[in-house]
Amino acid sequence: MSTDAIMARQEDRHHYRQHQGRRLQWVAIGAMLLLGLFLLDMTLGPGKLGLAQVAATLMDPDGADVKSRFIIWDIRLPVALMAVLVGAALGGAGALMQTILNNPLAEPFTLGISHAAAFGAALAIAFGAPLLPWEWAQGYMITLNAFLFACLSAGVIFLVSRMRGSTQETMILTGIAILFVFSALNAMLQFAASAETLQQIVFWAMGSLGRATWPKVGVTAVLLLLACVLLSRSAWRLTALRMGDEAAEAMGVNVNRIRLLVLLLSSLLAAVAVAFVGIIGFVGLVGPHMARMLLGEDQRFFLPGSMLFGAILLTIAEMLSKSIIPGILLPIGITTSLIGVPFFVFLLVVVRRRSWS
Amino acid sequence: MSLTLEHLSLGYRQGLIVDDLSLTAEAGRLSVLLGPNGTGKSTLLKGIAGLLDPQQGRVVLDGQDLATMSRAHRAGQVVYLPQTTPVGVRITVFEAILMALKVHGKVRVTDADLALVREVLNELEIAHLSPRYLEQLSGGQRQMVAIAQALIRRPKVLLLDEPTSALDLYHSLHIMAVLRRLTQSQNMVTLVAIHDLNLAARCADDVLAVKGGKLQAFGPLHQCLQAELIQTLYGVEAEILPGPDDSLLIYPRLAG
Repeated sequence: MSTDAIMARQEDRHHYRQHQGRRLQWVAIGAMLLLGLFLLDMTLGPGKLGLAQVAATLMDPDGADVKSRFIIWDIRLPVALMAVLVGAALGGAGALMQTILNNPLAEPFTLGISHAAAFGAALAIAFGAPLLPWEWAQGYMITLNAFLFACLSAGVIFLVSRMRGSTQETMILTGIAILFVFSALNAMLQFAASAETLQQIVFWAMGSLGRATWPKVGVTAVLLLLACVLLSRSAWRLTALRMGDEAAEAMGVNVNRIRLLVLLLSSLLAAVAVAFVGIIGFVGLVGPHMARMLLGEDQRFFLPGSMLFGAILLTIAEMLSKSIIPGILLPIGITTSLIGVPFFVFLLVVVRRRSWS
Repeated sequence: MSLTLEHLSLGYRQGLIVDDLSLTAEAGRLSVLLGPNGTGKSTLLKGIAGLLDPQQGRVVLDGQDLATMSRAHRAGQVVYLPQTTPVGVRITVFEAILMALKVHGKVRVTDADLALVREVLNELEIAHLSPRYLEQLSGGQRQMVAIAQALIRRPKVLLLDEPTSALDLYHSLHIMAVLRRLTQSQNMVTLVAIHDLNLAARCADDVLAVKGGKLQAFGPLHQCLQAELIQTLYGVEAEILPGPDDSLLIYPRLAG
């Protein structure tokens, strides 16, 4: 190779690094922020533990005293991990839905998947679960039913998308229709329920990370990992979708197939998240939105970025839900919207204008 | 190298849109696809690109039936650019072109990939756009990026659907000049659907005219682009005048 060619190659590499360096910088900052918040999250709650103590107990469980080991490993760690995982799952699901439906409003919440899951859970609470003799089975029954209904609603959107002449708009509108149907059904169930059941249903739907257990953390983590592996192979094809269906098709991408696969995968992510912790809106919307502004829509960065920002948002929401009223754990669904909305408006009005000019 | 259409018929459930079309286009020549609105120009281009299955007949590239190729392989040989370019997409020009190269490849980006992107950027003189987001570009710039996305795949056949429809005079001329140059240097079969007859006459080697899904004419520009053809295609009376540099000027007379 001539010296000129070598020089040109070095220049290309340099340009590319410059190009991508900024994106990686944001990802690194996000990751560090998440780690910090994650540790900080575990210092919050009844029973005072300092940051150093938390870190020490995490690094060396056997060396720590029994009390802090119990608080960290059995109570706070699963919850903190669940916040990260569910945030990532919702952020990822939102990003995927927005990409395949070509609509920045698409997310598990607006597509009705969350409400379907809530109805499934409510149904189990009202009728199914109490029939089971074992308490542990009751918990799983609620989760499983929520999951089934989330999958059902995703299935309906999937079927509609297969119909002739259906477009992305049809899919979005179907999602909104599903949202209304299930919130009506939910209201009906609540109307008819006894006071005790009603309370349970309402609390379930508000969302809580307090339900996190190690097996649930495990299931969510495995699914998220699986999704990441599958998606990493399709990153370029997903980016191609953003060029428009026809252009992607002309690049040899099987648009219908990838759209269906991704719809199923994102619904699965959303379904697991909702089934384990209840309805959490906004993370699926704001996470991808932040990723789009900071990292762009090259899916190699957009997808991990959306997961990362989703995880950060939910961790902050989790910390707030523990600290707004000391000693009381507010439902995470409430704090997410409380911090999500002002933050979203801030992004739209201030940051977006600057980054686009 | 040549592209042959053998009794190609294309259509949807409602009926045939392209009806029994046969021709052979040679590499290194730019053909303009002329015809009135709604006459099947886009359908024909999509059919050649394999985005529509033929009702009848076949498309043959270098002796190989395109229908027998895999989706990814075919997309590398025959590149079709739709009429519209994406709007509001936050992907940089560099990433968009890199994606077009890697769409069926590995996630990892090699030095060789980067060099190819750089080469295409330079070839089309859009290197300065490289770090900008597509959403920040004008229609003409987006069109150039779309062409870059096509070229980086080094296609044998390049099909463009009205690439100049949204562009001003300068950008129209620029894009057609670029296409003409690349058609020769890359030895491609290039087929461009276009409405501007004078622009077509300036840069075409061949004319392919269709109306009502039927082939009206196919051959060298000077031979085919006659007043009768324009009358047949558009129902407009026109005078064809000799222009500077061996070109043709089309002067349509308004009906009535």
